[in-house]
Amino acid sequence: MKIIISPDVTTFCYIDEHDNMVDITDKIPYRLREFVKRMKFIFDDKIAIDRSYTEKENEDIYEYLIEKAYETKDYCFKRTKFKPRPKEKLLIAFNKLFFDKFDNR
Amino acid sequence: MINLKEIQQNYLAIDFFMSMSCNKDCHYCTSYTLEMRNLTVDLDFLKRVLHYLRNYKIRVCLLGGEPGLIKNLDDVIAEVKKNPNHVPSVLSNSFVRKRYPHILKDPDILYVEHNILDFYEDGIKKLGNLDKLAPYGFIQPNEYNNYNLCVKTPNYFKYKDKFPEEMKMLNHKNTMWKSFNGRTPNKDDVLAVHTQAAEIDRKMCAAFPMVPVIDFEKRHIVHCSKKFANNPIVSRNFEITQENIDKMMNFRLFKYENYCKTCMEWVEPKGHFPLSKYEAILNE
Repeated sequence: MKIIISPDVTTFCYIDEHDNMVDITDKIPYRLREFVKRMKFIFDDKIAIDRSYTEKENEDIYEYLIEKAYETKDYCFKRTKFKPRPKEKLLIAFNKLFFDKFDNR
Repeated sequence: MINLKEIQQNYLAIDFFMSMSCNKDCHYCTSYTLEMRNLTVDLDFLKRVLHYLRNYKIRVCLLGGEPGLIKNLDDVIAEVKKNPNHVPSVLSNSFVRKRYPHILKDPDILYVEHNILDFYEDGIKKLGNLDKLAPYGFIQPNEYNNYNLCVKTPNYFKYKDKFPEEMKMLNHKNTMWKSFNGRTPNKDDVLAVHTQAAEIDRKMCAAFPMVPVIDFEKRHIVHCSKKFANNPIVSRNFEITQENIDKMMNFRLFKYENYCKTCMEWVEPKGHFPLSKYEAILNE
């Protein structure tokens, strides 16, 4: 499952089996949507929400950083410049947290 | 000249417990023995450890015990200074002022003086004869990277207002105020001044605590300096190898242990380290 986000991070959609775009914004908890907005400071416009990331191995520290950013609103508050490798790991951690919160909403 | 802010933002700190010997017995400290032992640092061992750490930006905190008791402290500092990635930091109870006063004149050494035992109703009990040792009294504002380190004990909150003159001498840019921490043998003391940190903060702290230790007596890496020596719960330890050092410096060696679950160490609610510090380290 891939989720498509509008550039201003206000609309969340996915493409169903008939190639229809389904708006699921209301199904995403407000706190999680706000968190995705803050993730732009790390990923710019390259935020990918894709369940396949959740199956990837990761290191604890990246999961902690994402969890902290979710728990503490002002932890991630300005643009960062992570290099591609740590950024990829943060993306995996972000997806794991996103789908955990989404599935358990 | 080294810049404290730059170091705090971009360097990880590691305690080098050169010897456990101390000439004081602070009631909230468990990392010491009054027995005088291992007072000469094995420079070959030191060189090996520094070599393993050569590629990492480290604040090397030289302590124990009381570093002023170390007979070859000048040689140890000279060794640390050889690598521009490494910054020597000396934490003393003021004994260094007496025995190695030139350290206070070297702005490339962070000199941090834990010079107050505690606050009491009838006075502030100091560690050492500060008033007889130049620069006399508490460390005053300076550009030499000399700092007071003042622990906010339960008594600090209780009695500090009784000593406005002394507080004036402490309240300046060269004083570090430190939260009372989990090193105390009495958990109730900690509960008197702060609650337990959130689990995510303790997890982040576990990944690279404030601070891990190189134990020069047992010659191993110790996960956390707050669970040391006479503490009823002792920290995990690891062999000193290049592989373990690399793992440690990349947040892969230490795990969230059982003792972290009950740990009362103060962690800033805004984060163990700021995100920018992780960014700098993980991008290396």
